Amino acid sequence: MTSEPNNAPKKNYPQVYEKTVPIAIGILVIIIVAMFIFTIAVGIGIVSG
Amino acid sequence: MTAVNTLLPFLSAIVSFIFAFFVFKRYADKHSPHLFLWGLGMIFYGIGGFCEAYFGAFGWNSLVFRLWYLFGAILVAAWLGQGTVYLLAKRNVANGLMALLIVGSLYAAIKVFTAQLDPTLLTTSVHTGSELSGHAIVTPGIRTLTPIFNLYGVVTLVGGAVYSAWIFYRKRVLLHRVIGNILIAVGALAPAFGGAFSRFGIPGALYIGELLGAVLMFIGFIRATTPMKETLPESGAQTMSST
Repeated sequence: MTSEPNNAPKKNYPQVYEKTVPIAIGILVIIIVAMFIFTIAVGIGIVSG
Repeated sequence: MTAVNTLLPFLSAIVSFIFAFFVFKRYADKHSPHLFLWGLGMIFYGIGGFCEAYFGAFGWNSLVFRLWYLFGAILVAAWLGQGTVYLLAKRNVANGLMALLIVGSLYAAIKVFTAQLDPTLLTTSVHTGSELSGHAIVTPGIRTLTPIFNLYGVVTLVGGAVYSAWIFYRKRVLLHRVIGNILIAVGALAPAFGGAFSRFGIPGALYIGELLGAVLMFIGFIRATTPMKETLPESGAQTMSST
């Protein structure tokens, strides 16, 4: 009773989205972090904007 | 006058105003503050594009430059991002940030409209001079406002869209929102990349980036608000379809 198996099939997106969405999100996160660091670096004068 | 520095920003303005109309239309139905702020943000985007087109067609005008710098360079990303803050953050946090943004925007407006300008400086840097740029502002301290507003805008607008896409992807629900949010994030970044290429001396890069950004965000918004019925799970979808 306490470990009732979950037989519900896992709902997935179409295969193309299963592969591309995490890649796209990862690239966007890297860009946001890079822009954030660059802007801070320009702001404190480490890098010339 | 060239097609690149007149037609492209004019098209950006048209796309932005049409986009704003769709967002305000949705706001009229839903009355959510994030929709109002997104609509306002796209009006700012359109004003920026219109001022760029004016500069391309008729040349320098100090009022047009000030309007462009205030709405197109300083405020647009931050106000669009503030809409996302209202969508994702707690209401009191969003209200506090909204108050800060209003005060900051008024301060920026006063600084921009009292700044000393020199249009000859548009062509004295690596910038090509075929596009408007903040180089024409002589008064110190004003251009330092721009990255502060834009950093807030990028983190909230792009970060919020990516966060939303990830949440929906992780739960494997509302694929249309995943795709829409990714398109919005890419579109919001496009003007920043255009601006970067423009600083490397590539003429027209900023305006291409802005047009691409407006189109991608518009498509993303339409995608995010139009369900793909065949991918909807049988339960749980209704509770998250509040955008």
